[in-house]
Amino acid sequence: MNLLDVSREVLSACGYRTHAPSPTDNSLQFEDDALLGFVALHPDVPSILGRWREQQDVFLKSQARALRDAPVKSWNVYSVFLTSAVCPPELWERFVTVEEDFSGTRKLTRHSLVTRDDVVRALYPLIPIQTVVTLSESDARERLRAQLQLPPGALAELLGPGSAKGFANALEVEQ
Amino acid sequence: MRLSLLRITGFRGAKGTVELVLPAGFAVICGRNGSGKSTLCDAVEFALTGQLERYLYETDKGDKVTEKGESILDYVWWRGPGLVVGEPEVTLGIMDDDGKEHLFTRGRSGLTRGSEEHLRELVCVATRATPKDLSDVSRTTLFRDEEITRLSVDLPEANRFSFVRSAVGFGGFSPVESTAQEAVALLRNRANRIQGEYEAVRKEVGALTARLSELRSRTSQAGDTSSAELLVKQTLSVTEPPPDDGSLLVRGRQGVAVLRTQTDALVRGIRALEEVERRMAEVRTDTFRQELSKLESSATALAEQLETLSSQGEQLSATLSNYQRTEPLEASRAQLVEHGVRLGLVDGTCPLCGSKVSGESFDSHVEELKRHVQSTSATLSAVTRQYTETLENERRVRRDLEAIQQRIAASSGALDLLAQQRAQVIVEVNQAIGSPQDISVEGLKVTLEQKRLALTTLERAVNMLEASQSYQEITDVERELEAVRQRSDALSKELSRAQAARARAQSTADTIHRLSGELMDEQVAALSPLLTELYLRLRPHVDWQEIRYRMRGDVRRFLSLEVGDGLNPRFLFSSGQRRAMGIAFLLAVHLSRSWCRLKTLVLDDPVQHVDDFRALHLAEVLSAMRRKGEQVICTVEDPALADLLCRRLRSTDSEDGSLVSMNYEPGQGVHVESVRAVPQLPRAVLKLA
Repeated sequence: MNLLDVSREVLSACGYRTHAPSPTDNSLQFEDDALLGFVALHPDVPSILGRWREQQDVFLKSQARALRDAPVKSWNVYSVFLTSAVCPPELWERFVTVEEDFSGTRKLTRHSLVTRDDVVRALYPLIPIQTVVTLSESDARERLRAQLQLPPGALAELLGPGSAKGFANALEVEQ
Repeated sequence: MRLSLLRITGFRGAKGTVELVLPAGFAVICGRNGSGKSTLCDAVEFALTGQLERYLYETDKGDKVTEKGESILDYVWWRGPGLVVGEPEVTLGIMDDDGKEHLFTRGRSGLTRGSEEHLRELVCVATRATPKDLSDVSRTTLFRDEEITRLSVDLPEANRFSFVRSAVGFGGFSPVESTAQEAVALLRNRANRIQGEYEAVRKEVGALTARLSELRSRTSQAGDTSSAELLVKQTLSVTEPPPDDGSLLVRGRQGVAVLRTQTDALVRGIRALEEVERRMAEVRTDTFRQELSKLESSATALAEQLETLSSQGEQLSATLSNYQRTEPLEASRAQLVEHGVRLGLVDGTCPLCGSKVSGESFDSHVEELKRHVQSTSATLSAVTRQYTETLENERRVRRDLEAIQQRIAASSGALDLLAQQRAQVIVEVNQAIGSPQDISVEGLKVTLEQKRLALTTLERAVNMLEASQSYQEITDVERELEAVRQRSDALSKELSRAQAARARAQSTADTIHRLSGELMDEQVAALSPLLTELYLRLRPHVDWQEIRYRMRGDVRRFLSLEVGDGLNPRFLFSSGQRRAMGIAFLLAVHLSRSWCRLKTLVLDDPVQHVDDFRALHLAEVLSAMRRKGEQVICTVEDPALADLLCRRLRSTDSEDGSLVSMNYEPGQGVHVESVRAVPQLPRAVLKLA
């Protein structure tokens, strides 16, 4: 799975315009009404740790004029660094600390990305809430009706506007 | 549907009128402590519910009061200096999806514009699971700084379950389950009542069956009725014809009772008479007479002995009196002897009389006097002892004499006493059998035999008469038994039906309860991915990157939150991390409200104790919610954070945003200092070739 292709697909589905500056660059640029930035794919964590600042600066420099023209939006620049490799334990702290550097852009660093879901989770800060909770009450009523196995009159008394007395009478009558 | 207007007058920290037109997208409300941010949030809750729940605590009786037992209404309205201009009230505007604004105004006396029903119908989707009151709307719309962890991570598990259940809107099948349980109770009572009636009827069947058996047994003994009547008449000496058979039977039964009484009295009389006559025979024997004679001789001897002892006693008493009269003289003599011995002769002169005597003569006289005193004392002691013994003997002989005299009296009167007892027995026997009888034992035995024979004859005749009457009674009892048996069978069937219906009702109630639990589990399970996503977005803890929920309990349900290998984040996370996790939980609850049309989230200073990094995560989550059309109203203290939120919350043409600055003016309360519309950001900045 190409993480960059998946990232592009996810961002596009969420309303971002995307652009790959170079077929060999392993990066893509994105922008919507409020956010903008780039995604850079790396072979491993050391590569990210070694190149994130350079890639950020290159991006800012290349878009300097545009960002100057949009001073408020320029606060919303994201640099996203992804790799499918696992972060070695000894690099964990440095890897996490990259995100806490607020200079220039908001940084996102993610490792161990294997599936599409991993990519979606990596891009959570950029995309709308993904989970939709659907709770249906009518299903519950149907399931109750199916499980009760009551005679028709008793069922109508129980689930309708009837009373406990009516339900009890129906149970006695409909044996 | 979203909030469109908030206008308060004289409410909480606002002395005057504060009005905020709320944009469709978001409002970031910024200000220092006490500038009125929380007052605006309170106004939202108060407009919806008429309460401010955060100031209440629950008493043992379930009442919600403030800490000093005062009403929260005492503090809802302006309490600062000066008077409020205008009527204190809170107005909340709600814009429906068709762009129509609905205004609700709540004052001191409740809603003065709009009604609770209208408000509820507007905000809540009408389903059976719709929450019972608008406090559920408020509780899942508005989250305050100090309540974020209290309502989430720190919430007891049972309360957390209830909170989530009310949020997801599935209240179980409470009304249906109540109906089924009520039916179970009704049918149980009915079955118990029928069971009681059935048991009573069965007892009646048993009694009638026994009666029938007895009657049938009796008829088997039935003989010649006419001879039985004759026997009764003869035995009772009845001469006149009885009015009917029943009367003769009654008289026969009475006759049996009389004869039984008479035979009993005769048996008792014969026994008593035999005993009296045996005793009389004893009295008349020579042995008895000789014994009496011996007693009389002993009495005579004892009387004589008593007389002698009495005479001796009198003599000794006189002697003793004489000694007692000379006792002072003897006492003086004894003192003289004592003085004489102690003083001795003084210069040839007697110290007692002063005469000149020789020493030998003095000693001789003293010795003589001493002997006299000793002799007199010994005699007195002997007489006293003899007198005491005589008195004792006299008492003993008198006692023996009295005992013998009593025995003589008893023996002498025995014959008279026995004669009296015999007469009494004869009186009692005569009273029992009604006519003077031969008073000998043999005579009474003959009479007893006659009575017994008559009793046996009469009993047999009465039994025959009773048996002849039992045929009709058997028919009556058989008819009655048949009717009772039919009633018993009907009750048995009725009982079976009621018991079967009760079992079915119970089974129904159990099924409903079980299905409610299953559905609730599924509802919360449906909520779980959302909670997971929000947790991942807010990233409270670097090590624990995933959160799980767990439900347990059957009667009372519990919902626990876990990280790692079943660890409780409440005790694992720092206060800031708990707050971030709490926000994830509360936002998941908020976004699960399928029953609520209001798509507005109100956060009151949610980032206290949260570091900048996690505050940024929260801004990103709110932005993600905004992109789903959620209106966000958020108060913050930090102007930089307010700016960040304005940049991230996406102001658009249709869902614009504003930045509101609040301030407090001493004596005048809080007021809106400025409202700045947040412009839409330029859409295409990057040069994407």
